[in-house]
Amino acid sequence: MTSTGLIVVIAVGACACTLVVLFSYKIVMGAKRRFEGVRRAAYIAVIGELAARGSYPTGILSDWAADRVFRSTLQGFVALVEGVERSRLLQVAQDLGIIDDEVGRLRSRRTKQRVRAAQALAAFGDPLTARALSTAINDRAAAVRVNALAGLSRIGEPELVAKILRTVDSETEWDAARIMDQLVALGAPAVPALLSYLGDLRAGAPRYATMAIQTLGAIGDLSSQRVLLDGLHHPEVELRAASAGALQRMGSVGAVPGLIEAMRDREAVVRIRAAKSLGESFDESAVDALAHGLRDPEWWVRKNSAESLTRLPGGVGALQEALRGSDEFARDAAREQLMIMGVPAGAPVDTTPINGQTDGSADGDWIAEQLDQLDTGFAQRPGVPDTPTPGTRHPSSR
Amino acid sequence: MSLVTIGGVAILLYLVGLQVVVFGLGVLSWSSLRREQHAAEDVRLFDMVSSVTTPPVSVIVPAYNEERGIADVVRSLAMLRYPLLEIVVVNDGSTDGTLRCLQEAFDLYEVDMPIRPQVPAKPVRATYRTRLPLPILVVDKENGGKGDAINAGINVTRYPYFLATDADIVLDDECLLRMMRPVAEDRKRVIAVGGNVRPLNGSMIRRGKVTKVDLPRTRVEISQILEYLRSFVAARPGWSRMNALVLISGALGLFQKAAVVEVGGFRRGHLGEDMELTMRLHRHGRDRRRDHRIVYAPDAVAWTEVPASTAVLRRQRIRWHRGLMQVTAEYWRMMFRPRYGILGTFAWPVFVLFELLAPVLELIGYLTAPVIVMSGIVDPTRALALVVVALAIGILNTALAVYLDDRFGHYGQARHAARLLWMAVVEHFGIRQRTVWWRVRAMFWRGEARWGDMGRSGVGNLGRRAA
Repeated sequence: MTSTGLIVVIAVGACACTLVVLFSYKIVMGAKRRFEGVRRAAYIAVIGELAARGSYPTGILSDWAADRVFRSTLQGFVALVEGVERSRLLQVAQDLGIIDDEVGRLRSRRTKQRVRAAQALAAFGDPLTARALSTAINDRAAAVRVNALAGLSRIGEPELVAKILRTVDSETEWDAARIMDQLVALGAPAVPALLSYLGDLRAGAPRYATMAIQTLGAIGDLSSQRVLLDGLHHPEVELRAASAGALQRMGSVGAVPGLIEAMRDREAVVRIRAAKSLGESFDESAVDALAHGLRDPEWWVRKNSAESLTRLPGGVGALQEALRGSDEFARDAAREQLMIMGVPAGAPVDTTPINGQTDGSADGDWIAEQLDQLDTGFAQRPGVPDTPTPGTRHPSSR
Repeated sequence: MSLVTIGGVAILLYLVGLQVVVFGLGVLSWSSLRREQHAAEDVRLFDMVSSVTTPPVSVIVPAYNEERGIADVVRSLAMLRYPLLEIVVVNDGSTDGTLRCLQEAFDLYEVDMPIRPQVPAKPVRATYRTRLPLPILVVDKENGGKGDAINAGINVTRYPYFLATDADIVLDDECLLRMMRPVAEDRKRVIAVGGNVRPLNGSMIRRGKVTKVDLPRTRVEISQILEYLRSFVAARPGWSRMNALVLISGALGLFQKAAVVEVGGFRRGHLGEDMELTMRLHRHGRDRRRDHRIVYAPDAVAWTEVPASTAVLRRQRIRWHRGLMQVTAEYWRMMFRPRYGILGTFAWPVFVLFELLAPVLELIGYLTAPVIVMSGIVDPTRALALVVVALAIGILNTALAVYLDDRFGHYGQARHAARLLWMAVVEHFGIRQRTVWWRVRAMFWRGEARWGDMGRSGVGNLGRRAA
């Protein structure tokens, strides 16, 4: 055979072999996936029964315990259920030695093994694994540390939280966010550690201060209110906005004066969130500030103010007053909100006093003052007029 | 040595170079996909769903005469697994009942919304919100093309990131979550993320979601599946790893709003507006020595309807190639400039050489090969051997793409594998040459490059629908 012929034979042969091998590979992998699916379906049925009944034939399960599909199904199931069912499944995992295996794998030299083990233990959240997990939060792999913390959060080990927060600034943004997620899961016991991490915000903010403030907001514990109110005065706008947003969850009357002050912030994003948070306070003293908010240069402040007013005693009255006032923006915001509520524009005015001020025209000075301050605000950027869409008024306004 | 021989050798070298680059990218993509898969298994992705730290996203859907499927698409977007998003549908002056469909499906009412003209767009006629508890906003505007419609969407969005998508696309539940992962990992540097777009034809849809993946019946459609696999599975992961992605598909691209606004938004009236924006973002960032990244998320999957008829496919390919020509004309200065990193020194020249010029060189090869053989310059046996080797490498590259795709778990049945691999062979006999011809026409003939009716049946009417 000539060299040319040889080349052709090799090319065709290589091509044909590759296609045959790939075809076989696809068939085998497809069959493998289908078999796994069948096994998983069977295991789901069995584990559901185990969770419901509590008693089981140990011999059969011991055989299954070595199957990674069984383990991952059990792991997923435990993470979903609570109470007695969870206790029963944890007992199964302990009896079959699955949890001991995972604790052992947590000491493996291979990162992948340790990550898998930490994921499993985080899902199980077995109190007996607290010691192993507390060691793992010092692991060199971030995925192990985060999963270990998730396990500890599930178990409820607040004293270890402070430990991991001390080094959170050296984590990546992603890992820091996942750590904060676990603190939310831990709830109120995590608050002291978060407050300690934030320190005195007037003196400066740590790297992930915004995330920590968002976390405090998600936990919603009143003990963090003081720090969040301090955050409203921080020089960084992101932090001020996060603080205003975080106070929303508290729904505390004590935060109202601070939030009313935030309604005068020079940055629209802070005022937007403050307007939203005031609505959660259910405090009548916020009505005035929100009525001012209806005349804000930023549309979203007006919108949130109008929404929040509907939640406060006397708020609907303020909306109706705005509807009769001279300010076009306030009228639009009030009209839309009243329409959403189903209150006709001509309905009798709610006469509940709103701190003695019902005349929108008296607010002209305050608005002018706000406009003067808004030299770099969101809505005041050059060439970015904040006017309503031309021709898009609601039919009821025409 | 005659001119013909030199030309023949040059084309041979070109073909070898093309296949080597494609193979190299395939290997790099394989490595990237492995790494990505391991990373995805390790991270607690679904914590993002309930996390207060997850950035909110606006989804912009430009729609022009999409009454057949728009309601289903918006419903499917509303079901996306993501903690905080708003869906902005931009009706780009449709002449059919797109707006009416939306009004009926979502109980819309007209509202005043602030429009901040941060990027240029045609005037907005009206904005609508829904009375349903869904975060949907509809913008009705004058017709201005896809880029213009996305710009209009940018001007009304609230959130710092936006996903630009099409009105004929179905996103997997976790698509947005997976696209946002690179952003959440590195908010300062990642300014754009591309997703993995797959052909929807032949698959089963239930309530706006793909429930069963299957292959379509026609060769035209299956050959496009192979093309998508070669591009989205066997090439983009490799380019992304080098931070040299030249294209974020207009069907599925996530952008940092501030970055897009800074460069002036999408180019209006451009045939390749997605590629043009990607290149502009690269150039703008690198000119200012910013350490920006434009990345690809292979596990973020969306499904789109591809042309089922030859006529529609021809129009699409001509438009794509014209778009590529426009972008090349505007950004050719970036070639071989070290300032633009691997993009300027390698990726962009390779793209121009093997995408823009490929059809011309391939056509010259087809035309001159018989002449060279018949004139006795090259021995016919050797010429045949060269053709066989080139074909074999081409088939192997497609096979590599099919292999890489296996990790996504689609097309797992024996008949799928058989049809895909059979098509990997037969597409070299007729289908490939037809595409080459269309692209040559795009370069040398005027007309046929406008947006037209793509003959879509609408997502809700496509594929083998579930009962």
